[in-house]
Amino acid sequence: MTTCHQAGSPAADDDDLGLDLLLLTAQASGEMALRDALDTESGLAAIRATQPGASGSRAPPDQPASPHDPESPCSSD
Amino acid sequence: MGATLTNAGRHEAEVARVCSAGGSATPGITCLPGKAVDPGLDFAACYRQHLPGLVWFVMSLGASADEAQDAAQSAFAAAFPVWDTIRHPQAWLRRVAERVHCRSRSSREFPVEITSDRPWPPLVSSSVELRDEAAEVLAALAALPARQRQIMAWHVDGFSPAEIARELNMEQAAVRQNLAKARKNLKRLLGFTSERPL
Repeated sequence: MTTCHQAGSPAADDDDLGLDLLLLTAQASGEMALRDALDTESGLAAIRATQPGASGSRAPPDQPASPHDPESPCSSD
Repeated sequence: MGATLTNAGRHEAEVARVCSAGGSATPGITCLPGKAVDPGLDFAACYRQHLPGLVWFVMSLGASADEAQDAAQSAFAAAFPVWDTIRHPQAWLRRVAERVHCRSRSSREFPVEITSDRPWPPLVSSSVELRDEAAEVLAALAALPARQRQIMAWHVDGFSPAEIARELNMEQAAVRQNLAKARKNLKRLLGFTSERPL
């Protein structure tokens, strides 16, 4: 991961390494918990059921045509 | 998404090829966590492999587990019919999931009509029990300003400042500046320092 800190500062290096380690550990454990909990086969079936021609199909709730639409409202600050 | 590969696209394809083969010492290529996607991975395999990571990404943006599942599921549903044309699935899915989440949150804050049910059936077959460090990090991310939180979420998923700038249509300098502020604030929030917030 990229780190942004003042070069030559041992304290900053330790803090940055510690932060990176904590962020990656949290990500790994969070993903593991989700992997255990998520029913991906049901999710796949739900997606396939939304496609044209599928039995009981319906449109997805919010189907963007492209990921490159105008800036999201969550990132205005 | 077009079929023409730009120079950046060729580079990313090479990165994906090298990294999916298990990493490399190839000059100019750095394999980052969560970044590489096997270009030959079909939709179902990619969904099974990367859904948890995408849900975590949306949770890092401040969504609840339920909201994040809905946004991630909607992103994969949008990708399904155009899967063969998507060159960079990891970035594409994150952009769409983020936008779905933001729209959903906006509609809750400014409701114009009452919807009776969730857009997707629940995907969780058992409760999501986060360990302490995961919950602590999510709480700290939620306390960041939205732009810092957004950039940190992309950063933790292995995207470089240049890639983040491209995906979010920002200047690289602004990405680096927000990333530095986010790191400083996170260190304070997570107890690494006692620095004042930015």
